[in-house]
Amino acid sequence: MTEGAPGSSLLPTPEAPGRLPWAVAVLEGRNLLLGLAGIALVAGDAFRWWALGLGLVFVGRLIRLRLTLWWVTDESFVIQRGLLFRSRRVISRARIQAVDLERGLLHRLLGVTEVRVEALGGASTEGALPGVAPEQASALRAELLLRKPKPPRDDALVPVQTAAPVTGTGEASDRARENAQQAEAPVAGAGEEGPIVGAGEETVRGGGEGAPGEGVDEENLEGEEVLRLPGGEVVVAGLTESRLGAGLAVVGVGFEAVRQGAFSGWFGDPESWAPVMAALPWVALLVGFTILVLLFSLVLSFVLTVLGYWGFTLRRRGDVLAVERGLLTQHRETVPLRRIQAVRVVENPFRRLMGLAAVTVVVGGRVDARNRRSGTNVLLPVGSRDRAFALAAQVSGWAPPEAPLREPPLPEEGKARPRTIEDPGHPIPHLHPMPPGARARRRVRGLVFGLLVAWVAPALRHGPSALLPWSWTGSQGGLALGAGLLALLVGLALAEGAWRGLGWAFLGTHAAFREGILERVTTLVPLARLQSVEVVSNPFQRRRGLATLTVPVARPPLEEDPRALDLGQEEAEGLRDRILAGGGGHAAGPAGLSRTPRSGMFVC
Amino acid sequence: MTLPGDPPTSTPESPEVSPTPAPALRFLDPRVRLLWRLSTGIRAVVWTAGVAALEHWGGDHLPLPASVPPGALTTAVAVWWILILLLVPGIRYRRWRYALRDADLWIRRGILVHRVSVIPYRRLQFVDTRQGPLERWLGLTELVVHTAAPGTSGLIPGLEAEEAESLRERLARFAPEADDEGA
Repeated sequence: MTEGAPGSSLLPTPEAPGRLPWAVAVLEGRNLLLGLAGIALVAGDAFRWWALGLGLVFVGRLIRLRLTLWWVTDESFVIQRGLLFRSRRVISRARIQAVDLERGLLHRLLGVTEVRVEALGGASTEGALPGVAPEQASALRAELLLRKPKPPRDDALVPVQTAAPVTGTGEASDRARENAQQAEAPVAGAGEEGPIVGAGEETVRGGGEGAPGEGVDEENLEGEEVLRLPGGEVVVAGLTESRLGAGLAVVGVGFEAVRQGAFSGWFGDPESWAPVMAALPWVALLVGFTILVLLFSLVLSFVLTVLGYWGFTLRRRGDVLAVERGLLTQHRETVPLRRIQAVRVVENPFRRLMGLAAVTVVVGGRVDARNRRSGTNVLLPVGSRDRAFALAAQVSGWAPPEAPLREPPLPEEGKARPRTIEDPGHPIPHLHPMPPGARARRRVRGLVFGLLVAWVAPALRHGPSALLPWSWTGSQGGLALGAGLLALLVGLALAEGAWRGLGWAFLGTHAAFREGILERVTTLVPLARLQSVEVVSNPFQRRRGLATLTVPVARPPLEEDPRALDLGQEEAEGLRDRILAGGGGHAAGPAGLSRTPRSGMFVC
Repeated sequence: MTLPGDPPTSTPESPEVSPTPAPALRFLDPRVRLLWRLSTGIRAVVWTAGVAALEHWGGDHLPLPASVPPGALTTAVAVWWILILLLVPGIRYRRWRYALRDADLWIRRGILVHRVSVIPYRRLQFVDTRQGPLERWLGLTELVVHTAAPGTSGLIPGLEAEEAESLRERLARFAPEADDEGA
């Protein structure tokens, strides 16, 4: 299956690897000149030495570029670099996501093309050739994309091709959809160029012909409405946003404390404050100004939240979720279900008090700065806990399609809700607590916190000379004791909260992890999405027989991987093996496959 | 010999779990200890020389109590590095194991922080091999496997060069074949 393409004779083979043409030296030279110009501006007399250094770097880069070899085999694309420190990268053809060709002005003048071979994984381009003869570049692109040995079709691997009906070939229908939406909401689409594909990957893909039959139902361009947030709930979302709540609390407590004179006498001798008192109007002005700015920023954050999420509507079209939101700037974001790596239910303290939660998703794919807008991954700004978990369960593919989504299940009067692992129809997974050792670890932290406060408190009051405990006077000792005890109580309370916040569950096709002291985050991971499994333990954990299980997924670099913090060591290993056995670790096991939901949500 | 954290020789009782055969735990190539000692030695010399130079020429400006005798800092740094040189490569070699299981690559490492990574072959995106001058001299190669997750750490240093090449070829081939079941 590897014969017949015109131009493949242009491509280098392992026997005759390709080199970068000398023209790339000019591309490098451009950077050198820019660097020199920058140095000339600032360096002055030392310019000569800087220039020499930069020149050496340049020569080094040239040698490195010249020593870059690349070739193509039946299975892979290979780049080898370096002389002393030699590295060789083998990218299997089936894993290549995109081959981007770029010709800037300089490239054109030099008659070369920049090639970027993208796979998944690295944060940057995985295989970059800064300059290749254009016909060779085209041949390489055709070879790598159009004649893949076997097209990858693995939903767990964030497939790009399968999303093509929405992004690539569906351009015409996108247009139509756009128009339809514009017709309904006249403001929609102003300034937006088509649906923003969640977390990126709109580059033209070769081989992106797309599987037929997954296309969007043309009759139903809008997609089915999954939920719409009424204005009142958006206001609630803005009010319970943790920044706002915390800010208001701080301002309120501070204001009250100052009013009560809680801090009078705390800052040492009144005489030493004389210059400050003399400048008091200014100080007062400054303090007032700061408070004003703080308040203003809080109000602004509230207003922005409300504006940003006004009219929040979640729809689905086939296997794609679409979010529309915003009053002034209208945002439309799409999240293909297949790219969802993990779903998080976030309960910040204020929302927890009110039984509310938000839902965010971790979306895989190549990171694209344009699409990393805030809110891209929010599927529910605020909603009842039940609704949040129901949405999370369905979006992650854990709950069957018939599970309630629009109408959250109401608990019967006076009856506790049945919570079982065996019942995926129920949206809230029952989590196991972490072993007592995990609680003990947190208590030790609380104790350390108390001791620290006890140690530092006298020094805060009486200056650095009070840092040595054996020099404490009686009143200083009392202060240390009081402050320390208070801090210890706070620390132990937080420790208890932190431990209660921890939890884990193995749900067959999914795993659920929870952590967080004040803001509790429950993460639901479809195990089909896992890329590897790690069990890590540091000495403190090992002392108590604990370990942390991490499930790395194809997340954007700034997100965090789902993890179960402080599991028992044996639990962690058992969970790891069950995850590997059931969650896609085994290549073609029919058992594993049948238990892997294929984003089964919404399949009607 | 089984160690805590070793892959299980038998799987949990769940009938759905396909039996995982006991993996053959492999050590790295023993020469990697020499490699680590050499590279640590180079770093030790550079650090010690740097601190010595600092103490010699800039000693007056260092915020040290007067009671510290001259040369104490350099000595401390040298002793620290000698300790590391004596202890770390040996322990690291004993800790670092890997196994090629049926469906995944199993790597254990870490001295203070123990880490066991299990990377299914079908998740591999691309594979790097790296070789520095010392490695070339010893005939060793470092192998790094990458998955789509930025958090995956699949590093196997100190493989015999030819074995690394063949391993890389095998791993690179695994991925597309295992993908078929998706359709």
